[in-house]
Amino acid sequence: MAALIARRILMLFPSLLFLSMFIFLLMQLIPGDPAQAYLRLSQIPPTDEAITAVREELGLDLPLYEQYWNWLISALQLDFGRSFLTGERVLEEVLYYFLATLQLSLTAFLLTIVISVVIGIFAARYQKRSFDTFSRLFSVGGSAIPTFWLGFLLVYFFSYQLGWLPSGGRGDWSSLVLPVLTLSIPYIALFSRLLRTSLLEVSKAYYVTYSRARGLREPSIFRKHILRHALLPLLTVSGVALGYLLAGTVIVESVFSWPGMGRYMVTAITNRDYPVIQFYIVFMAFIFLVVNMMVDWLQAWVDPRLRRREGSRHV
Amino acid sequence: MKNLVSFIFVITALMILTGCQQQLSEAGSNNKDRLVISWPQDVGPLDPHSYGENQMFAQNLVYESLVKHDEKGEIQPHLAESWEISEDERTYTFFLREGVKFSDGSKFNAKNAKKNFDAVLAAPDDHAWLELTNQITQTEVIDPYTFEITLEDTYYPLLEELALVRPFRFLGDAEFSEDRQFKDPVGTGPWVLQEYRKDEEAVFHRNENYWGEKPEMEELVVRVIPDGDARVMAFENEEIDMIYGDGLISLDAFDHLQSNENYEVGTSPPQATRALALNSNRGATEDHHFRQALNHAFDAHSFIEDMLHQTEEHALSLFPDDTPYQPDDLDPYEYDPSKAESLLEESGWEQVDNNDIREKNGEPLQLTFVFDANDKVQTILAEYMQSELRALGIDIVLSGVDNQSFLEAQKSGDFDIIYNETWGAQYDPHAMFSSMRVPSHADYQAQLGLADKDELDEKISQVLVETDEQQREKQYEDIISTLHDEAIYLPVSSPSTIAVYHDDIEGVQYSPIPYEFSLEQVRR
Repeated sequence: MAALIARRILMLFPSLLFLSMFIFLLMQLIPGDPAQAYLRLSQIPPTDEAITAVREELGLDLPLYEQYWNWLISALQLDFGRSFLTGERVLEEVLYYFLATLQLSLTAFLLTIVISVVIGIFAARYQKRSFDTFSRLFSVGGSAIPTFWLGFLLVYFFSYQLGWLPSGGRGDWSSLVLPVLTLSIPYIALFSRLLRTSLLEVSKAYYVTYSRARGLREPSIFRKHILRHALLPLLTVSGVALGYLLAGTVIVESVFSWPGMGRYMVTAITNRDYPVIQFYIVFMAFIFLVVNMMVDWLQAWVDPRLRRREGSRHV
Repeated sequence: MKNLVSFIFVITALMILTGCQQQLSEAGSNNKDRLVISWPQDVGPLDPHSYGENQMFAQNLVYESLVKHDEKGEIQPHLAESWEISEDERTYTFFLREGVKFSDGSKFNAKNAKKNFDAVLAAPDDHAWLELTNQITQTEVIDPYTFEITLEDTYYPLLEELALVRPFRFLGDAEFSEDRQFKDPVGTGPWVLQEYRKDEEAVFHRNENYWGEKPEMEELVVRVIPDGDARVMAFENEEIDMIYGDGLISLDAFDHLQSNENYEVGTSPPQATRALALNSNRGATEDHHFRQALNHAFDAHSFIEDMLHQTEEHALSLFPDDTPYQPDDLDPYEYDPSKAESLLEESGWEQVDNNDIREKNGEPLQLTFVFDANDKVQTILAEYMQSELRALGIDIVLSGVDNQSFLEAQKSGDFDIIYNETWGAQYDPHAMFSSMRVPSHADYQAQLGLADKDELDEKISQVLVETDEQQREKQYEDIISTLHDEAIYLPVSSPSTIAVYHDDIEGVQYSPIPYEFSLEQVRR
């Protein structure tokens, strides 16, 4: 198993290398000049001389392959360069914003999973009864509503009308409530429905009928034979969802003034802050790959068939 | 494995809870001595000699300059009480104000002034855009409160450029480190940075050592709110006391807030001009009469009323009236459709066979209007103009492009009409004129068709080095009148700083200089 993990981790590096090269080229293709963006932001009139001076300072006058090579060599030593805009180390800056994002997205993720599972189970158990109808309505509404509007609606009711919660900013736990709800509701809408369908499907399987015939007690059938199977598709999608959440959520971060990765990235893109864009994408690819890997292991844990296919006895 | 999962669950929950922090500063009447405003970006590290993410308004709260613009835009003494200019106008001697202290208690004197100037001059690449940094050859401490600057050539805008928010402002001695990297923001200004949480909020306290009039409020909080609608929501929810700045909220939101009687609104004097440049080197706009016709044809007043909800003043000429050297006998091009029509006929554009669009020698009257499509005001201006001028038989082709292509069009002169703005009170007119001589500017391209463009450039070069004040005034008048008579520009409106605040706030003031916020008199 250790060898397997090691192999998969080693496999990350060629993907990341290829990706970084690709992104580097792609960034050059987008029209826009970081030097001009810097000057505009600094309120300095962008004369030709000023642009040339800034380009030189940022190392943009070097040939492309040399720029990439320099980046790669320092990246291998975990030095990802400095932001064009702030002059700070990219790694430190990204970590700063990543912590804020982590706080928001993990809370939203946990809430999503817990609530979806509860709603999914109840909706499946009381199929076609009022709770099921309600959950269906919720899921249609929840997945159709645009995030920014949902965010503003929540702010309007809970902070403007009722005055219970702050409308934005990153303060104590109360400031976490509204952005987390805004992030979770669309996912809950989706996941609870997914789980309900999958529960209903699994409960029709032969092995469930057989286990009833074997005289097993109902709660144990549900836990061991139905729920465990039904969770598999949910695991796959939740892995993807976690990846997206960790990448930062521009809209929610803007609406709630949350200092997270999404906003940081959008600022970097508008300012053509190449080192930041480059590192962000490589870092996010890394996170996605790691989350995927974890989902694979979790699936193998839930579903012993997968374990056997991988050719190992334990996870 | 099961244990591992629940372990991860518990750890995550703990992480989230411990990740929470103390409450953000709140606005409202229960904090009588605190003013909360908001800004779309983080204030930055507040290095007085640096650009980029350092927000100018925040640098201006903490640091001060030798001289300053007053409400009328005129230069007044500030950290320098007075100054003398040598006979050859190449040496400026400043007599510094005594008893000025930095917020850390250290003294401001000529030694500190020299140290700050030298730090700026030691990084010529950073500051080369400002002509003054290229002109200074020597800085000298004459006595503890006398400081002298020697220039290579005469350079009359020296005082104007010393008044800018950056780079010539003063950092406390202790905050320079050996590699000239800056440590902490310590200035002589009315506010002192007290607490700072990056991208969340910055808290400034009143500088108790301040030599001038101290701020009324004890605390000034700048909360980072990137989204305009979220800002309006926070304002209505009394989480912030005041919205102060340019372009912070949408025009619709402004209109909505303006109509609420619990809120007060106000605007600063005009700070620049939105003026369309008409290309004298191309197509129909080559004709002097035609350019004048356009000036008479566009109803800027209605545009401001209908589309800008009167947030801006109507601009009658390229520069606002209180700009230095602005002649007061310019005859503005009033909105007058019938005059526009007769001028159009005069230049040969006629309505043929009941066609909507005028023609001349079989060519339809079509003008390309280039603007930055990402800018809301530019877009509505272009669209408004299109629909308005159609009534006069002029077909405007909208060319809304991205920022880079917009800059490209400025350089190439590939436009009939292009959106343009003057540089702002602190740079007008000298820096704006200076740039008119540079081919990469829309101004240059638009003026290229003038018969005496070379002569005009020559005049501009002269006025920038002219040492005699009266001569200079005359020369400026000449240049400004020429541009006005030629109708190279179509002035529309003057953007300004907007304030919206709750009605328990008083003493809101405005500066003619963008990013110099006057928050010292604000009280509850």
